[in-house]
Amino acid sequence: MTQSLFFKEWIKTRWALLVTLLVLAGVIAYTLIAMSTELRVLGAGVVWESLIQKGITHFDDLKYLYLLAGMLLAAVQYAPEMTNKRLKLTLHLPLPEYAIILTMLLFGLLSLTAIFLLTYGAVSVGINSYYPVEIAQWNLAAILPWLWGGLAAYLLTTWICIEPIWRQRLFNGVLALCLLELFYFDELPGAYTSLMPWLAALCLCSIAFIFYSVARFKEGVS
Amino acid sequence: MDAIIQCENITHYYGKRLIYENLNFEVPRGKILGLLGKNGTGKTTIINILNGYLKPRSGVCRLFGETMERLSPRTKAQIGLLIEGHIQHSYFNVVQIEKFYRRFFPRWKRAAYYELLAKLQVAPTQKISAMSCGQRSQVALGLLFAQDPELMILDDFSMGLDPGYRRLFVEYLKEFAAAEEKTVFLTSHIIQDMELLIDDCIILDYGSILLHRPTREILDGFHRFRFYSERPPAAAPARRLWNTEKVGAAWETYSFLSKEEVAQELRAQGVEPLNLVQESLSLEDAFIGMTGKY
Repeated sequence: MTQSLFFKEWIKTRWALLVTLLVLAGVIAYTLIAMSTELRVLGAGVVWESLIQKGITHFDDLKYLYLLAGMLLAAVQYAPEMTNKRLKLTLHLPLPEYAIILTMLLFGLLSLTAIFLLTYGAVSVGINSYYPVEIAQWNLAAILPWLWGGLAAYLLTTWICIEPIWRQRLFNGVLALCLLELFYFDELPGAYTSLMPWLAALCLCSIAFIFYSVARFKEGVS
Repeated sequence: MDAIIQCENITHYYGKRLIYENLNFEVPRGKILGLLGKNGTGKTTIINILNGYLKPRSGVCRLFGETMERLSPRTKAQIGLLIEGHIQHSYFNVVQIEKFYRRFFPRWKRAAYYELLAKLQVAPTQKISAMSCGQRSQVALGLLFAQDPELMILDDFSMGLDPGYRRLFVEYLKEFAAAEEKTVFLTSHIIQDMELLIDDCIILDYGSILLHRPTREILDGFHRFRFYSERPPAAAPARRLWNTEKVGAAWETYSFLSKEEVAQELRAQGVEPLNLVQESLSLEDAFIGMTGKY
């Protein structure tokens, strides 16, 4: 049955997942080419100076892409469920309702994590081939909170989609933006090292928000 | 006879507007029960309450003995649900949707689905979102039959269907229910379809049940009476004469009483009915007789 629910989610989201992967791969490839050109044209000394003295990182273009990826996946996965209240059909499947919702969320989180890890791996391989380990880690550490931000954006957008009342959706949207801001308040690599468990906890809390809105949907709140 | 659906003292409001107060009914196993009512009397509301998608102000509904808010997976597998407008997961094509559902239901009858689908001129790769309302209704019906549930709950099954599809739907449903003592609870705006199908009938009025009787009893016992009179009849006691009104030069009234009893009732109101005529009614006419035209 889990396989069947995964099949349903895959049919809804496959094009969005493919587009997400292609866009991220494209941006990473472009960044690596630009980085290589910069080293060739400006010379390693100048680039190194700006990296070490000014704390500049190379992959800033990815910053909000992970966030958008999470939002896009949640929208394509849950907007069709809320159109014509199709979620009733899904919740009517012969499984416990919490298991249905958790399976759908698991699909989204696994898909996003797979794409994120793949792109993170590509960034890691690419940057390690140009810079020493310390600078590579510096860049990779800067990306890490954005990955968490993407996962949080997925869960919070799901919460907004599943909420049955528009007015409450707007409130959820404002709250979601405030929470997502936490993933982007400091660009200095390593600034989030001690905050990572808290960001993970925030993602877990977002799952509770979703169940609150599912309960409201079940009660027929209007 | 065991009750498959039980609703006890359901009271519900939308805001301050009362929908029902202390609504009570049961649907026994093997019966096809039709819920009739004008727009806004709460037909879809009761279906939402039954399925646990709406919490009433008070009262409880049970399906197979389980309360509506906590249906077990085993019970949900026994209930086939059709949402108003034949809503389905429209991002699937006709093959994908069968593949999706079949793993959930142990008694899945693949042949039943493809038998109905063969009547449609659709390619296996055609998406449900690209189908007409009639085609979607056949997909939804095919999935319900493949599920082989003990109870079907159908919300406005005839919505958007042309007469051919409606008749097909009714014929399949009737055969399905008769074959294995299945229970069906349905609503429809098109009452002439219901007449061919339902054993029992609940007529909803604003706030309460107006009538709950076997359909045959309504068709055999409820009549329209036409008569002429100089004077308008006084208000009759409730449920003896229904919706008495002047139509052209004649008067019309509806009643479960015999012709003689109606004449007596009218005389008791100070009216001498001239040329009193009794007419048989279709279910649709009976519905209008009970609820009024407006």
